[in-house]
This record gives sequence, structure tokens and C-alpha cells, in this order.
Amino acid sequence: MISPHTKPTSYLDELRRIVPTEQIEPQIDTADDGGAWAVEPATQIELVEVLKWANGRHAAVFTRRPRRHDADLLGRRPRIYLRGRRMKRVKDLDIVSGTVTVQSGITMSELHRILEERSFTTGFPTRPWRQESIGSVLAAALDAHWGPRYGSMEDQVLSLGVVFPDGSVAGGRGAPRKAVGPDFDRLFLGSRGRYGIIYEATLRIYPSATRVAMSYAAPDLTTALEAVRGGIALGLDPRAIELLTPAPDRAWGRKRVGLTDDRPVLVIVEPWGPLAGRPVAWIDNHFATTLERLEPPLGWNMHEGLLPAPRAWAEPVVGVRWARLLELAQQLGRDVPPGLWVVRMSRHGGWLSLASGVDGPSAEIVRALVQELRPAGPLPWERFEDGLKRELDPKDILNPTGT
Amino acid sequence: MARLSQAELIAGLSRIVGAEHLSTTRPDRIAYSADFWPKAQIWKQGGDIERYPPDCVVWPADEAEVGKVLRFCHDHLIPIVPYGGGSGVCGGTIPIHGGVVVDVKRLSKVTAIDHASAVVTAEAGINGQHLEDRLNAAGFTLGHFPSSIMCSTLGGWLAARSAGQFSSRYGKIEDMVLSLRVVFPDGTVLDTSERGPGGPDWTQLVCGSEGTLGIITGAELKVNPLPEARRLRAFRFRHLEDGLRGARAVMQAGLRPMVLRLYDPFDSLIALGKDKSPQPSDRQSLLDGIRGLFSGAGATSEREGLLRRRLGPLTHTAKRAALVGALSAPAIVNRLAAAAPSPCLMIVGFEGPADAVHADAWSAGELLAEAGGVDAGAGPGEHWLAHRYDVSFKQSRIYDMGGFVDTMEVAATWDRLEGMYAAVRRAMTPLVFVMAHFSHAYREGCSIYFTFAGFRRDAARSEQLYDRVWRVATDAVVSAGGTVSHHHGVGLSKMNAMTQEHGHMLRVWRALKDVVDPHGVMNPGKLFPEAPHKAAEPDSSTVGVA
Amino acid sequence: MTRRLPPSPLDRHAQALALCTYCPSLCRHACPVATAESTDTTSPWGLVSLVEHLRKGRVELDDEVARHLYHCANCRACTEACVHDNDVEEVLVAARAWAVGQGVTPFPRSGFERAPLVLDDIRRVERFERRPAISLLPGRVALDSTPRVIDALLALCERLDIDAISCGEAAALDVGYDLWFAGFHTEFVAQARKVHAAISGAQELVVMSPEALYTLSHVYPRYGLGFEGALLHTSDLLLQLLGSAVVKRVDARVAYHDSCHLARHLDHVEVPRQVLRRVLSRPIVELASHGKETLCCGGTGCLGTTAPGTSRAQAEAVIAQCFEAGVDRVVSFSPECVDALRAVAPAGLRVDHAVSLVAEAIIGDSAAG
Ligand SMILES: Cc1cc2nc3c(=O)[nH]c(=O)nc-3n(C[C@H](O)[C@H](O)[C@H](O)COP(=O)(O)OP(=O)(O)OC[C@H]3O[C@@H](n4cnc5c(N)ncnc54)[C@H](O)[C@@H]3O)c2cc1C
Ligand SMILES: Cc1cc2nc3c(=O)[nH]c(=O)nc-3n(C[C@H](O)[C@H](O)[C@H](O)COP(=O)(O)OP(=O)(O)OC[C@H]3O[C@@H](n4cnc5c(N)ncnc54)[C@H](O)[C@@H]3O)c2cc1C
Ligand code: SF4
Ligand code: SF4
Repeated sequence: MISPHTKPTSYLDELRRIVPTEQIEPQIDTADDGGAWAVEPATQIELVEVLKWANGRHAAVFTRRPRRHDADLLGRRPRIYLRGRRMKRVKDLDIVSGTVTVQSGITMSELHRILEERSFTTGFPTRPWRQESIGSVLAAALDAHWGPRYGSMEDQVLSLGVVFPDGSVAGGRGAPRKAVGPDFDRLFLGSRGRYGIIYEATLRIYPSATRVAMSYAAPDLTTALEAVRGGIALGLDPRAIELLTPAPDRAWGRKRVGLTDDRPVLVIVEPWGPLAGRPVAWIDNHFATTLERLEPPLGWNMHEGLLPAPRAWAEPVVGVRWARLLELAQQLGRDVPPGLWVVRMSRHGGWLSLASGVDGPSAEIVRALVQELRPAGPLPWERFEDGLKRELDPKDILNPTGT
Repeated sequence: MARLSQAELIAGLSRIVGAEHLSTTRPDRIAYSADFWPKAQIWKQGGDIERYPPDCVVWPADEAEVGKVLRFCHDHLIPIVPYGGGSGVCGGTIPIHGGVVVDVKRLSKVTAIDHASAVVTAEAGINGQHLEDRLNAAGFTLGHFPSSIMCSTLGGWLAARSAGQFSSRYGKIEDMVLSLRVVFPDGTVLDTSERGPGGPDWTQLVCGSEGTLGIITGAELKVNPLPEARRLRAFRFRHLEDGLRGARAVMQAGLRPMVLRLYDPFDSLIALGKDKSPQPSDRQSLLDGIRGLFSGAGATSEREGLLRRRLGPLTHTAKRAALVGALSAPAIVNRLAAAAPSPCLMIVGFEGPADAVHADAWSAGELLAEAGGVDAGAGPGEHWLAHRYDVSFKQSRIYDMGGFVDTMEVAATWDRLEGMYAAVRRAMTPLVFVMAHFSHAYREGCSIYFTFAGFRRDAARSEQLYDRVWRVATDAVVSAGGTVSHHHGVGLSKMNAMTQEHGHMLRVWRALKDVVDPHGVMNPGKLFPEAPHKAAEPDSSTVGVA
Repeated sequence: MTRRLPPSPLDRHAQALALCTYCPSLCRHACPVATAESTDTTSPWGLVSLVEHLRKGRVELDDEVARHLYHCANCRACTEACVHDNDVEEVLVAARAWAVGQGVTPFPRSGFERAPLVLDDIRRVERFERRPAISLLPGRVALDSTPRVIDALLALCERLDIDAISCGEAAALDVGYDLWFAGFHTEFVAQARKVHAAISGAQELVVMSPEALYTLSHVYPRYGLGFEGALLHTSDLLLQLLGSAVVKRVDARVAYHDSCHLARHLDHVEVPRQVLRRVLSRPIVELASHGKETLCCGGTGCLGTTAPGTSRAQAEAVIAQCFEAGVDRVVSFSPECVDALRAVAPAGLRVDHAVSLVAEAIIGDSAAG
């Protein structure tokens, strides 16, 4: 049935039978590739049909924007660039359980707008993710210095709905915790659309009203870390604690928030809900005894103007335990490099990274630590992940050039 | 591939672990032929003490030996059953296809305690209580207290996604684990700590795999400072839904009680030991019989003493008669239970820094009172804390008298919880005696822990009834939109519900199996309905073949 | 269900057997043998279930099966942990006796029998009287491996003006704990009669070995051989003696290892500690497992004979706790424990009988023992 010589024009005809014409946008066609279209399925059924078609035609299906080399790599295979923007329904806003079920194409800003009407918010920052779809954010799962407020990216997800490359559909609404085998959703979080397309997600939501932000300046890393550790030891349940130094090219931002040469380290504390039995003033007192309070306070994920945008962040991010963090602070002394951050801090440690383009001995110390904590060489599971790809997508339909 | 004879198997494995760490003796084969799946207890009642004995049991000394044992079995297509404490209640360690049981309990070291970061590294075979003792000595607690802490292992917890009684504060084991080490059948060792942000999370793909992917050899876990203070309170609610509303309010306010349990009316009756309702005397004695068997997780000690006094003089035969009477007519007893106008008891407790504990307990009290809760003082909670393991001991008596007892711990989001509770009760009450409590509460939902007991004349009939109950109960759970297991896992017992539970998501499992266990040797026939590899029928002359 | 079987002497234990058989091994963590052997087969659940299967005729009794029944230190940790207080000791002793009755003896009787000592050997111990009013029973292990402790004890008595105490001829006899434990009950009773005859007439009996004391106080009476006078443990005696004594307290960080039989079988948790507190200037260092939860060092239950590797591993586990507690000296009131711990203690850790410590405080003889 499938002829290798099918013409791009007949592909288009076939696609039109699956989705309405206005949902198909031809991409610039070069002489001898198989044709490329941006397709916007409006329903799960359309999405499934597009995938089935792609499977039959050995087409490549991308869940990202076109790239210049896509055609070179794929030769005569037709290419589909899926756009989620029509799949943006809020399927269920369950304020009893505190969850929302959405189609994956909804943008972050749209989702937050809808939730705010009901005085809710997600655990994700309202910026800088604005036009990104929830599906793409989850598929990338690169939470770092613009990460979710309450735990990790994965912690925000109660369940995922996924379409496999062959068009089969899986997923439900989920329970708060389960013991029915591995957590399969985790395969799709962070795998950048390699194994399946996220068509739906159930996320945790939180009342939006209870937001208290505090920020402080510290003379060095040790003082900042000790203050955070002290707070945690006294019972402050870490929800959002971040620690950062502005990047070298962000002098203006640094001045704006009130950091100085003497106090270059910014500590942001944003507890949420009951403050482990303590009034806000208690937390503030704790931090203000060793650090300098900043006015007006900076809240969580308010570091625009202090650090490069996440998309421009190419440096590795590593998990660091407290023991190593404290050691690092000792080594650095008062010489803290700009563009350093530690986020998602908890009783056990945090995530660390350093901006590119920062030089000097202190930057080298940080880089050495990052390097040390980074997995070296090919990871044992890369082999398994390649195997999984072959099992789940034997024809290599989905995002075939890698990311 | 040529099948190995028993002698070749023994020789091959002995070379790896040493002859003294391998056994084919009868006592070992009996002891390792089952876990604590109630169905296996029923087999035992019927005289069938080793329905599925392993071909042999091995005790590897370390990860390297585990790797070699796995590789050997992988090469020779011999089924492997990973074994921790054998405390599973779903048949997960039953060697249904024979083969080799790999007991990992020699891997029992606490490798490191990182004080500054509050992280412990331990080997998978360590007994739960031993791990907690070691941590306590260092000023920490894992905060993981399953009722089986005395007889289960770290590896088993991770393999089956276990939950402790304090999970509302400390989370389930999968929330505590930072990374783990797992050996796959070809001998590859995966250390999941080598992961930056982004990329699939192998820790959570291995957690819950119940020995079907590989053997977990160790893990890094978050630990907590020993609590400075602890405070327990209790509340009574006229209606179950009020209690649930209160529980939800507490969790969604962001409070993190170490325990929050709401007993349904009958469970409360037993827990509180209070029953002022006039009942015809024979019914009263039925209730007493049941109560005598289940009390222990009860709430007030003097009442329990009274019960014991009432039941005390009864002979074993009389007690058995009461039990048989009660369990043979479950519908009547269940109706009685439902009719008993008992309030629902809730226990809520906090631990941590002293002032935070008192403030949180106070806030919770306000929220619960608002939902209609009446303060019942500290007594019931403290009694629960002191006796929280006792109920596990009670099962023996029921089996001894010829009945069976099991538990089903399901979970759902708050919006579906009451519906699920009602549906499950409706499905089960004609068949067995049922009671329930709500525990393991989270922001989004909660788990329901059903305890049920049944009786039939002989083991064969008991087994039939047992299967039937599970079938109707899991059907009810799935239709009500819940998950059929919150923490006991799947094993053999819930396998049939897995297609409904996961649908096409099982493709991921099949893919995982094909990739890491291409010969299908890891715990075959468990967790999910058969993967593409068909397990061969065990052959009497040769070792079981996967 | 399977009630057509001929009655078995084990039927008496039906209730206890059923409790363990259907129990999810809830005392598993407490059993030192199962922990040392990393297996569930020799856990209390495993052993008692095996007995139940034997009773119901589902397992044939043979040497291999019977051998398992001896993988028990008789430490009673299971019973202590069990909400039912299920008496595993009683069940296992009965099972071994039953096996012996069936002629199945995986370990020969000779391994549990102790020939009487030659009286001269005991006379070597200072102060011997044939029939003393207060009779000291040091027990075989103390006589064999720590005779100087006995000397020190007697010297202490002398210093503290008690001279009625002496080793009598009964000291030459073994009380028969091993025979009883191993199930050779006919021989045990014969031995017990001899011992009973040798001790009768004494007003007080001071026993150094906790398992011997347990045998005298709890097992003998079951055979109508209860001792009429007062039965004391060394620690009881020392507590009385120390009442008014002038003590030069020893300044050392010392851990105390509770003997299972002393702490659990005989409920002696506080008395030994009171003695130690009288002679130490610092608080006693408590091991991670102590008091009624003490960890068995494998010195008892004939483990040394039936499962020497296990016994050693248990002693090593106790030693590990000593290191964790950061002490370089540990004392015990049981000669069996001292013996077992010394066998594995590394050079940096000194293991003493508590009597030596008391002697150090009173007599200044730090070499005792
Ligand atoms: C190193 C690094 C660190 C970063 N850290 C942060 C941070 O801390 N905070 C932050 O806000 N952002 C961060 N980002 C950016 C973040 O990756 C993007 O904001 C996010 O992925 C969405 O971007 P996009 O809309 O351009 O998605 P795209 O680039 O279009 O998609 C992202 C990926 O997801 C796949 N995908 C998209 N939709 C689906 C779907 N429905 N199903 C399956 N797969 C799908 C795509 O194929 C693609 O691989 C970081 C990026 C990098 C490279
Ligand atoms: C009285 C009683 C009370 C209980 N209470 C609770 C409770 O409160 N909470 C709770 O969560 N559970 C409870 N359970 C269930 C049981 O204790 C848990 O499922 C526990 O996690 C099992 O641990 P285990 O070490 O005994 O594992 P096992 O029973 O030995 O094994 C369980 C499964 O995991 C696999 N496995 C074991 N070790 C490994 C390993 N190292 N690597 C890979 N796979 C492995 C086995 O093959 C099997 O499939 C209870 C059980 C009993 C009998
Ligand atoms: S002694 Fe008690 S806790 Fe131990 S197995 Fe027997 S019944 Fe269970
Ligand atoms: S007495 Fe001690 S060694 Fe024997 S079964 Fe009980 S706990 Fe184990």
C-alpha cells in the first residue's frame, strides 16, 4: 500500500483527510525532500490519526520548531511539525482535590490566567515560561533556576496522558500515590518527546493567595548557607529557598535589588502555607540577624535582570549535598563568583550552576566542583534508553534527530 | 540453549557464592516457597506448605556476587526471584516457575551517614528496624514505619513502593529515595545518582518494579533529625464525610501531620471500644467475637481490657465458634456494623520542633473543629501510637481458627474517595466482613485501608472466596477511579487488575523488560500480565525455565 | 482439618505453634541467629513453623531437618518482641526433646554432656568446703576460662567480711542446661537429681552463670527439683556486699553487656547496673541494644557447639556495638558472655567479668580475671 514514490502532494491530501486544511501549514519545501508541514491537531483523535498516518508513511513527527538541518538528516522522509496550540482545553479543574487536568498544548500564561480567576496557581513560575506549552515544559523537565516552587518538576505532575508513536493512547487521572509498578510517567518527563507525545497532564494546584516573600543580602556564601541551614534546623520547612549572585553583565539588576560589593550574595526565602508554626516575623528575624534585609523583597523566581534567561543557560546543573556546599563556601571565602546559583534548596542540598563567561580562581573552584559532580563518560542507561526508543518507536518516527 | 540439570545449577551457583551460601534443603525450600500473601496462608491451612518451592536459595555476599548470579541465570534462562524480607502480602516472592531465590539479606551494611546533608546510604538487604536503630543512634530517623518494619527490608520497600505509618509527614519510600543501585540480569550495574536535572528518572522507573527488572542492591535516602516533640490528638465526627472534609482541610492548608487516620464507623467502634447501642444479645456476641479478633489497634486501653475480660474466659473452641458464626454471615454482621450509630474517630499527630508541633496541632484542631470534629483528647492517639504494631499480630489467631484476613489499601483523589469507599463496601459486604480506615493523607487525596475477614469450611472453598472478593473489590476500585494499591504492591494478587489500571502504559513495561531483561528471567509471572516472553512450563527433570 | 494424626507430645503447644506459623515473622528483627545467618529459615517464625509442619506430619523428621532446630541461642528476644509473649523456647525445647525421643540426634549427646570435674580442680579455687552454708556455683565456663574471676569474687567476699561462702562439691557438677536445651531430657533429669542432692542443705546458692541460674530456678522446679534455699546471682550478692563497703571508684568509660538469660529470662536489668554504678565514677555506657533488648552474643544456647560460625558472628555484632559506643572496655556478669566476646574482641577492646571491675574498686587488683 505504501509506495516509496508517493509525492508530497499526495501526502498533503492524505493529511487533509485527517485534519482540516486550516490546521495544516506547509513548510518551505526543498527540491527532493519528502515535504514538511506544521500540523495542529485539535483533538486527541486527530493527534492519534496523524501519528498513525506518520507511522504508515514513515514520516518524521517533531514536537518542536523546525530546524535547518532537519531535511538534510531525513532525506526523503516527510516531516510533520506538531503544534499543540489547538489542544488547550482545561478538562477538569478539581478544586476539591487541588488538581487541574489540561491538554498539553495550553500555554503557561493561559493556564495561570484561568487558574487565577479561581484564586489558584500551579507550582510553576508564572514567568519566564509564558508562551511555552505545558507539554513542552514537562517534556524538557529542565527545572533549574526558573524551576517550580514546590519541589521538582516531577512533583507537580499527578499523571500524564501519552500517545505512543503507533497511535496507542495511555494515561489516566491518577491517585496521589500508587504502588502498582514503576512510575511510567517518569519516562516521558524529561525525555523531550523521544518516546511519546504528552497530550494531557494532571497537575497539582495551590491557592494563590498565600504568598510571602523575603530576601536578604549576605557577605559571603558561608554566612548565607549557615543562615539557611539554621532556618531549616529550627523547623522552617524549605519550600522555596534560593541563593544566587548576579551574573557579571547584570550590574544594573544588582544595583536595583540592593546588592553591594560587600554583600554580593542574594538569599530568597519564600515559605508557603503554615510556616511550621512560626509567624513570618520569626523567619524574618532569623535571617535578619546575620544577613541584611532587602526592601522591597524579591520573591521566588524574581531574578529577571540578575541572571541570563534560562534558555540562554548552557552550563551544566548539578545536585550538591550540604556537606559539599559548605566545603565549597569555605574554599571560596569572601571571593564569591558572579553568576552562581543554588536553587531548590532542602534539608539535603540543592542544585548548583555557574553562568558561562565568568573567569577567575573562584569561578574555577565552582566549575571544578560542577565537573566533579557531573556524571563522567557515557551513562550506563543511555544504552537502555536507546533500546527503549527502539522498542517503543521501532520506525523512529518521533523526534528522530534526537531532541 | 541447553537446560541445566539441578546438579549443574548448584555447581554453577556454588562457584559464585560458595557452597555454604546456597541451599536446597527442605526447610529452606519451605521457608522460601511463599511470602505472607494471605492466599499462601490459606494453602498452609489446607496442609499445602510448599506449593511453589524454589530449586535453590542463594545468599550472595555483595553486589558483585549478585551480578554474577544474575548473569549466570540470564545466560541459562533460569528464573530469579529477588527476596528481601519475604513480608510482601501479594505473592511477589513466590517462585511460581521455580528457579533461584536470591535472598539479599547479606547486603545489610549502612555504608555512610552524611550528617551535614541528612542522607544515609545503605545496602538493600538491611532489615527495616535495624536501619532505623542505626539512624536513631546517629540522631536521625528515616520516618518510615510500615507495620512490617520488623520483618521487611530496604530493598523490598523500594521494590514495592512501601508506605510507613508516618507517610503524611515523611512521604512514601519513593519520596525518600534520592538514588539507588540496581543490577540488571546481564550484570550491568546502574547507579541512578549519576543524573542531572532533565532526562528520564530511572530511580522511579526501578522503584515499584517488584523484582521484575533487576535486583536493587543499595540506595541513598533522605533522613530527618529525630523529632524533638510529638503531640497526638483525637476527634470524633458524627459523619464520615465530615471527617474527610476535615482531613482534606488539614492537608490542603499545608500542615504535615505525621499521622492522620480516620476510622469508618465500625473500625471506630473497635478502636474506641464503645458500643452503647442496644443489640439483641446474639448479635452482641457476634460483634464481640469480631472485636476480640481485631482489637489491638484500638484506642482506649481500659476498654480493651474490658473486652479481653469479656472474651477472656471463652475457650479456644468457643472463640472459634463465635468467629465462624460471625464470618459465615458477613452480610448480617456488616449490616449490624453499619447500623451501629458510632461516631468516626480521627487521630491526628504532629512531630518535629516543639513550638512548631504545638502550633500545627492547634491549627489542625481549629480546622477539624470547623469540620464538625469533637475533641476526644490525647488518649486515643497515644494508645494508637503505643499499640500501632499490635494489629499485625492478630492475624495469626484468625488463621488458626480457620478463617482468613487480608487488607486492601487503595487510593484516590479527594473528589472520588467517598464514592470509592461506598462502592468497595457494596461489593465486598455480601462476601466478607469489612472495616476500613482512611490513612496516608496527601494534599490531593488519601488512601483507604480496608481490612476484611472471611471464613469457609475448607481451604479450597476459602481460596475460591478469597479470589472472588479480590475480583469484585478491585473492579469496584477501578470503576470508581482509584488505584488498586497504595503501598502493598501488585505481586500475583493484583496482577489481573493491571490492564485496567495502566492500559497501554504497560507498553513501557514491556519495552523495559525487553531492554533490561531480554530473557525474561526476573521474577517471571509477576506484577503485570505476561510480557511477550512466554514462560515455559516447569519441567520436573530440569530446573524451572523462564 | 488434619486431625487424624496420632496425638503428638507437641500437641500441648498447638496454640503457640499456630501463632508463629501464621505470624508474618514480626519478631524477625530481634532474632540474633537469623540476623547473623541472613536467613528466614532459622528465624523464630521459620523454626516454629517447621515444628508445626513436623507435628502435622507434613515434613519428615531427619537429621537435616532436626539440625535446624538447634539454630537458636535461646536468647528469648523473640518472646520479648512478641505481643503474644509466645514461648518459642518452650516449643523448641519440646521439639528437640521429641526429635531425640524419635532417635534423631544430629548432634551427639556427648557434645552437651559435661563430666563432673575432679574435686581437686575446684579445690584449686581458694576456699573449698564440701557443704558450705552459702554455696558458690561458678559453672563450667567460669572454672575453665576465667578461674581468676572466681578467686577475685571469693577474695571480695573475704574483704567484705562474708566468709561463709565457698565452692562446694556441687560446683564440680554441671547443672545440665545444655542437655535440657538439646532435648536429652532423661539424661538431664538424672543430672539434675545429682545436682539437687549436692546443693540441698545449703541456705543460699550463689550462681555465676545466668543460664545455670535460670535452669535451677525455672527448669528444675518443673521436675520437682526446686532448690529450697535462696537462689542468688553474683550481681545480687555483690549488691548486698557493696552496701556499706568503702569503694575507690574506677574512672573508666565502661560499657555493660546484658546477658540474655540475666536480662530477659531472669529480669536482672537493674541489679547489675546498680553494682556497676557503685564502683564506677562515670555513668555506664549503654550499648545500642541493652537491657531487655540486649543483643545476644552467641555465648549461650549451645550455639558454640551447634553453629559456631553463627555464634562468632553474633559476638562480632556485639563488639561492633561496643565500637559504635566508643568504649575500649566492656563488662558482663555472665562468664559465658565474657568467654564468647573475648574470643572475637580485637586488641583495642578489653572484655571483663564485672567482678573484676568490682575487685578493682575494692581490692585495687586490676589484673583480676
Ligand atoms: C540547560 C537548560 C536549562 C533550562 N532551564 C530552565 C529553567 O530552569 N527554567 C525554565 O523555565 N526553562 C528552562 N529551560 C528552557 C526550557 O527547556 C524551555 O522553556 C521549555 O522546554 C519549553 O520551551 P519551548 O516551548 O521552546 O519548547 P520546545 O523546545 O518546543 O520543546 C521542548 C522539548 O519538548 C518536546 N515536546 C514539546 N511538546 C511536547 C509534547 N506535547 N509531548 C512530548 N514532547 C514535547 C520537544 O520535542 C522538545 O524536545 C532550560 C533549557 C535548557 C537548555
Ligand atoms: C504484617 C504486615 C504489615 C505490613 N504493613 C505494611 C505497611 O504498613 N506498609 C507497607 O508499605 N507494606 C506493608 N506490608 C507489606 C510488605 O511489608 C511490604 O510490601 C514490604 O515493602 C516488603 O518488603 P520485603 O523486604 O519483605 O520484600 P519481599 O516480600 O521480600 O519482596 C517484595 C517484592 O519485592 C521484590 N524484592 C525484594 N527485595 C528486592 C530487591 N533488593 N531488589 C529487587 N526486588 C526486590 C520481591 O521479588 C517481591 O516482588 C506489610 C506486610 C505485613 C506482613
Ligand atoms: S514469637 Fe510471636 S512475633 Fe515471633 S513469630 Fe512467633 S508469634 Fe510471631
Ligand atoms: S530464642 Fe533467640 S535465637 Fe532463639 S529463635 Fe528466639 S530470638 Fe532467635
